[in-house]
Amino acid sequence: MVELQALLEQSGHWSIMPSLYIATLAALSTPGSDGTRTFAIGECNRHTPLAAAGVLLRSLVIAARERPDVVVSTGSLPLALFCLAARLFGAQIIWIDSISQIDGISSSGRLVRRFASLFLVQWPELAQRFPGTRYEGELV
Amino acid sequence: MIFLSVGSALPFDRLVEMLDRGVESGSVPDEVFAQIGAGNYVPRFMPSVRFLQRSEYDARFKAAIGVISHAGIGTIASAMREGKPLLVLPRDPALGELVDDHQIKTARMFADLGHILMFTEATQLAERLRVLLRFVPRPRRPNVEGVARCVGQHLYRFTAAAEIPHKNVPRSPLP
Repeated sequence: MVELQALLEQSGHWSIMPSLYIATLAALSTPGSDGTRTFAIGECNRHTPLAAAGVLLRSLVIAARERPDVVVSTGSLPLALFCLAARLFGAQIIWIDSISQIDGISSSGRLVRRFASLFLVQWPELAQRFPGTRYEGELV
Repeated sequence: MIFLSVGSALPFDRLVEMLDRGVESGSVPDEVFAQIGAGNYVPRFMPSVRFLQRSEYDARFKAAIGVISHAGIGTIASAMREGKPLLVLPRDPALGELVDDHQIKTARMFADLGHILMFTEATQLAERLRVLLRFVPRPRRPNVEGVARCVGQHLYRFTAAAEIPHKNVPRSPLP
């Protein structure tokens, strides 16, 4: 979340701005304070499969309705599930694995790596170890 | 004031209780305000709330002389940006506090680079807190602009491609 906020502060380099934000909890959805719509999909992790199913279901509904062209995410599992849902509806996925992943790719990142169009890591060694990933610098 | 924050996603009773007992015994060198999230342990010796709205969280964070938290990257990033002294207790997967040990690795890495302080045992808390109040975090220089530029190039490519059928398909003149 903080990594994504850091990225958004540099979004002047982008030709377009996000038209929709996805957060886990409504209380965390401050990026939407600029008036952009925000949806909350809920929290889950790999030990809460029921919650994960709920997150995936909400993600599918939102993705089906909104049909995003591109999804940019830094994780974690709930947002990986949203990326999956959006991909099923044709979105390109840009994934930035968190800098807290030091000696490998996150489990949610391993899921998204199969279908991401761009997969960035924040440690140069990781980009060498994992084909298809790139290192372009750090967000933190 | 010292600001204690454990994040909003998971409880972290071990850290909250540790601080509360520290306040009770007088080993904490300043007043503490605690954000305890979904934990079961409710502090008795320091004021606490479960959740804070972002603006209030930021205000508490900025006003604190030091912050204590789990080793969440969000808190670490905030501390880096604010130049705030940060002491972390990483969540331990062996105690069921997280699904893996990435907080332990993150904490060690940022602590080794001089950006934050860390501890792992309650017995270290009093000493670490004294160090925290004099700690000057080493500044960090991330390359957010470089990452944003790379993401921006892809955004342009993907959205331009997505828009071609609507914008650039030549239309035959009406008969």
